[in-house]
Amino acid sequence: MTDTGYISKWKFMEELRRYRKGSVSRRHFLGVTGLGAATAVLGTAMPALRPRAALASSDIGDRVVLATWPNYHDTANFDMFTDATGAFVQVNVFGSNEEMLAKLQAGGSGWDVFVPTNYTITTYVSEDLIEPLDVSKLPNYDADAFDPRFSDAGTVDGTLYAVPKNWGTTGFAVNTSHDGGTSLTSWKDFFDRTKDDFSGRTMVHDYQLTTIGNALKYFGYSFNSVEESELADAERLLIEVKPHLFAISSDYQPAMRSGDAWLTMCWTGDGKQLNADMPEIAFVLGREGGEVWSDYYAIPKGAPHRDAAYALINYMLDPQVNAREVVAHGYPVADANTNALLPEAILNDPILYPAQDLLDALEFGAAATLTDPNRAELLARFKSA
Amino acid sequence: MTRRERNWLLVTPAAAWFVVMLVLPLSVIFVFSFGERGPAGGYVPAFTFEQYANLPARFTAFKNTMILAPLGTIAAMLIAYPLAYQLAVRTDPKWKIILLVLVIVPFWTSILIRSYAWIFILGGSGLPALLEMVGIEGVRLIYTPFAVLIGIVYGYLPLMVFPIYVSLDRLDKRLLEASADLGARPFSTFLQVTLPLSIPGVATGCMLVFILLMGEFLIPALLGGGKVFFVGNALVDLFLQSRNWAFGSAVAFTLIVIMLVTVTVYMRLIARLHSGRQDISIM
Amino acid sequence: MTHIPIDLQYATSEQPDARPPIAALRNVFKVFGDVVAADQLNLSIAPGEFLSFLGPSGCGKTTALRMLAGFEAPTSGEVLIDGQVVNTIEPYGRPVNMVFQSYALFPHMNVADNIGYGLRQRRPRLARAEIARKVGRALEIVRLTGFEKRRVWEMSGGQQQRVALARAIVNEPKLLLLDEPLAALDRKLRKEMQIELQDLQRQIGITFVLVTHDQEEALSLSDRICVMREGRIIQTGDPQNLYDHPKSRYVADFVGTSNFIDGRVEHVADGVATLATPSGLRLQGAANAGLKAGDEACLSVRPEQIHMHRDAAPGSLPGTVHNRIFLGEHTEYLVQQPALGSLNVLAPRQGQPDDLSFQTGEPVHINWNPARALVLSPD
Ligand SMILES: Nc1ncnc2c1ncn2[C@@H]1O[C@H](COP(=O)(O)OP(=O)(O)OP(=O)(O)O)[C@@H](O)[C@H]1O
Ligand SMILES: [Mg+2]
Repeated sequence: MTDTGYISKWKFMEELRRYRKGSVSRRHFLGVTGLGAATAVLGTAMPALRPRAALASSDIGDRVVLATWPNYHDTANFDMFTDATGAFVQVNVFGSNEEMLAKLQAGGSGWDVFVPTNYTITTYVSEDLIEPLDVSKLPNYDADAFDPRFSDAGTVDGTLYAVPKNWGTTGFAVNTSHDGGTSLTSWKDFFDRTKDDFSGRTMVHDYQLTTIGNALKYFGYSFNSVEESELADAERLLIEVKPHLFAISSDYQPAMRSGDAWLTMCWTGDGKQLNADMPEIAFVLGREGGEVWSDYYAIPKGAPHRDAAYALINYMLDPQVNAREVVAHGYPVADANTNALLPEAILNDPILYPAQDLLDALEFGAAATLTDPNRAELLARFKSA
Repeated sequence: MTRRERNWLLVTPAAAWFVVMLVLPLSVIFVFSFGERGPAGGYVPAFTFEQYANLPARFTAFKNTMILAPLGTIAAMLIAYPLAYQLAVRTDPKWKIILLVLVIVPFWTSILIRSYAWIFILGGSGLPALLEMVGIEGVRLIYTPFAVLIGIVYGYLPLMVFPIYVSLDRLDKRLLEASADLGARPFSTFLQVTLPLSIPGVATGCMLVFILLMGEFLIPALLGGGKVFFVGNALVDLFLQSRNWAFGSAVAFTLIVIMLVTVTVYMRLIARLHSGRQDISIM
Repeated sequence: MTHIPIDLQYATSEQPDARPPIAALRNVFKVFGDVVAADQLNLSIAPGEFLSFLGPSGCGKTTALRMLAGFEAPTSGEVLIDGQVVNTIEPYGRPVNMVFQSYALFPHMNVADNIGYGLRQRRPRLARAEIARKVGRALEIVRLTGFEKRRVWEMSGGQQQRVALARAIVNEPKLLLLDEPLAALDRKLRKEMQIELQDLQRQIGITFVLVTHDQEEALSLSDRICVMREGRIIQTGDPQNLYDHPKSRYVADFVGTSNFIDGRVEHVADGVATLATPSGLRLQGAANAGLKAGDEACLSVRPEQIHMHRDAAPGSLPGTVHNRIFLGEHTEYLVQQPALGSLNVLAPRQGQPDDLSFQTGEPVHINWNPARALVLSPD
């Protein structure tokens, strides 16, 4: 995919297939296009489209509805779950946490399990949209085996609402064949070089949390800042670099692969996928810090198939199953039991498991960061500037 | 059944459709636009003009939409007219259907996938690479307003071709003969007879495309790389990202008002252009 | 109608035939797929004359007209206008105008703009005032003065018809082609318009070529009629000539009405043929050229040539009145004759006291002057 020259038929078909698999980028593509909600609606509105449940039905019912992110599972695991329990896993993919929240707020989602990110859970609790978890129904959940940094957010005021799925970081991906021998190591490099030798080749997320957060890191402010003056600095920076941007989009893989873009804000899994296919693309965590995140499994209030929901979560927490998941999607887990089963190559991969000092500088997104109206408006101003 | 009852039976579905599809959502949007955003997003009832006061924050989105929607409409019209003309006037009737179907075929594929094709065509390894081969360097097409324009024209061309085709196809061919008989050369006939009589089709096509373009968000998102921001994109962000339903409703309502005003003025204009014509059929 | 001295300077010629033809068809064929729409058409049109193409639907009248106008090119043969072969000249290059059957008025223009359309196409351009003046004159001619600003679709059928006429004549064409211009009008209006058309043609002197399948229209308007059949011109002549001397049963049938009696020619002498009917009668009539003994033929007697009597006369045939239609000036009888079947008889009322008219069921005797009967070839 590195060759220049016009696009071949094969290349196009491959991109199309990638798009159809939903593997374009982890989040947000669907959010931008508004299609996440559409697929979700379609999935429930057209039951005939769903495969038949296996005959070996158990008492958990014939299906379980999972709201999750694109390219975030090993579908073979779902098939095995269906074979074992008779419950078919209906997957709805979403583009952003905001979209998930909007859907749950609207009511009648029909979901049994969803995958919120750490900073959203308190909001779900305060909005009374999330069910406390009964640990006795999750025998595979070994709380002590989890790195607390990535499991803490599941507990709010002493009550367990969510159990960890995967975690990851937000850094940037850079095509090193264009860096002129000077590598980029910080968010300062990211924005300064964008105005310089990467002009017209840089992409930032169409997502306020990361785009504003990383611009704040340029100044050494907190990723989660909602300080007016600090946000003003970030806005100034963003508007200054806007003319130098290739695009504002969370769908950065195609452009990075085609060579149109050389530098982009990037989530772990995408960094891993890009680097695996094109070794000249490096995944970098900004020296100043940035975001680390953790996704969780949770059950929404009023889940129609509660038993199936517990069964699915419990199944996914089985270290054997979880290990297969990691191999499939390339996002790390915080579970020591699972890590024990993973090959060395993955455990030693600096993209999945960055050096401790880089990791220490990262911050978890905060609930206030997500719902802050000023940050949302800032991004809108930036995009329409 | 009396005639009156029959009439009611005929009108009821239309009225129901009108209420459910138009009046109801519009009322909801109108009410919401005076509300406030909840702490975690959504809508909290209130009566404030704050949302409307905040509209200038989306000025660029309105500006982009008000520039690119008419531009796209005109570009689509300029391309669609010769195409429709060729189909309606110059094509052997036995080929017409086949060619018309070819015009619709792209519509059978999702606009998302078709726009994706354009991402690759306009991307660095697509057209610009071809241009490079003939010595034109450094052309950037993708993620520019121009790319959005191409996507718009491409996406909405069939909607423009059809009404124009219909008006040209329905045109009484004897009028063209009468014009030739009275001494007009083919191009004069086109200017004096064909063109004026196909105005209703052109007007319909332009209106359809314009209204849809005013609410467009997918093509700018995909081909504009987030840098060409339409009101539609602002709305997607407001409803799906920042979940500011109150402000979103104010933006949406403003868009609808602008649209209504534009369309009304436009219809008046077309009607005046065609004043007195019996067969005025804008929609 | 008074004569209006307009700038349409076509004086009616006293002897139209003395001048070279204004238009002509020479050996013209026109084939659509496997339909022969024009089959060896030969025709000269004299300046100032009023010529009609008459024939049943599909016989090729419109095709002939369209070849003169330039909308169709002949498959072979030549079309001449003013002595020039115009086969390759487009309609807009021909000094010919057409009045379409459906009028084909431009719906987006008012009456004056419709009429001025042809004038506006002229190069060099005509002055606006000049166009307005000519349009005014044309409106005057068709008696529509004051209707300039009217929308064409606000006009009645007859008014639209006159606008279409005005739109054509305002260009002072050498040839005015009219394709069933009155077909869409009701009977009364059609009669009025026929008279107007005739007046108009005399007044402006333009050569008119009219297509119609209404024989009455052709007979009453034309100087000359071409009777057509299956793409061919069967007979050309002035109305009276065609009526009195049809060359075939087809023409006799199409021009006026007639009674036809089939039989076989027994002998021909001095232009008089004797016909034997299957029922054994012997009837005489003027022989059509080329008929000889033994030919299948038919005798044609016009209804007004048959006389009815209460008493038998020499050579009269007995019959019964089957039906009677009072037509005012005339009375039409249907007489049943045992050997000849039903015969149409048209009796003038003039000089007949009412009590002399025949009643239905009454026995009668009929005869006719053999010199007024024609023996024609059967097709
Ligand atoms: N454009 C055409 N294509 C094919 N066939 C045609 C075309 N125009 C005329 N014809 C055929 O040629 C023949 C003569 O047609 P034309 O229109 O000249 O008849 P017409 O005498 O004017 O009949 P009518 O009185 O019904 O108007 C018909 O058989 C007709 O079907
Ligand atoms: Mg005809």
